[in-house]
Amino acid sequence: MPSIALRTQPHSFITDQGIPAFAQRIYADVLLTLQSGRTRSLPFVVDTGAPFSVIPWHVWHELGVGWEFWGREFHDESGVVPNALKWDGIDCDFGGLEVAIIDARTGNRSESQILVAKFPRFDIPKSHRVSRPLPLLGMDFLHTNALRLIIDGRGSALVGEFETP
Amino acid sequence: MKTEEIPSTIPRPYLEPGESHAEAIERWRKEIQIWSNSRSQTPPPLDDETVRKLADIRWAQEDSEVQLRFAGQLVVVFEKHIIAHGYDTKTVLEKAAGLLNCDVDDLAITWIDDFSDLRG
Repeated sequence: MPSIALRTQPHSFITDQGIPAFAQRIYADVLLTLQSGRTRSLPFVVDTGAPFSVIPWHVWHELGVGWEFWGREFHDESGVVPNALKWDGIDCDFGGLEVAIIDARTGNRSESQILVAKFPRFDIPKSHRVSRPLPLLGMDFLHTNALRLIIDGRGSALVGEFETP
Repeated sequence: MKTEEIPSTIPRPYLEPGESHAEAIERWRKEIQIWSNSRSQTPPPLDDETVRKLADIRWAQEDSEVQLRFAGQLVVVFEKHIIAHGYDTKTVLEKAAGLLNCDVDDLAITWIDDFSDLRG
């Protein structure tokens, strides 16, 4: 079963009590197609707490990422679910696009995959911004593309990979 | 607000009459596998330009000095040099494109994660 290695980025903190804290994130380098037809690779945080991927406004709008619009409301048996398609309080559109993942070890690209994402309709107001939000790779990406995510914490830092069918 | 819509080129999920939600998603997943296989049996190698951009992005994200100096910012990288940096994507790209005399789509841009927004 082919695998696609992911990248880990650590960051060391220390508390006011002198206690060390070691933060880590797992990234996937995602190859996107722009509206110009060119491609661009961007780091996405692999977020196991996110049902869907998120491509912030400053990424999709300002970089001109091409995507297909699939709706702007989520409904279920109770009707419209107004907050389900929000991200950080911002209304989002819902859509999909073709992507590939770049292997962190070899630099090779994966086969074509579908990324289903929320696309915020506006930028986060500067007054509410902690830092530029990073694109998120949500759990839908695994199920949509029949991938297996492995995160291994046995070594000195997290190691992650996708296994493809 | 204008939506940047493009013509349908990817499998899109939809409900057939009488089909449950779960059945529709399963059918869609199978369609994606067929679509993905039809795109190419062996994914094409990355072109030289993309490989160069990836190397620059990797350098920016792993270089300790870049991490320290540009934490929380967007950076445009070219041959292991930071060409432009800041918080506004368009401004940073246009500044770098002017300095390098190239198109904004030619540029490698990435974010230097400052871990200021951990969300957990």
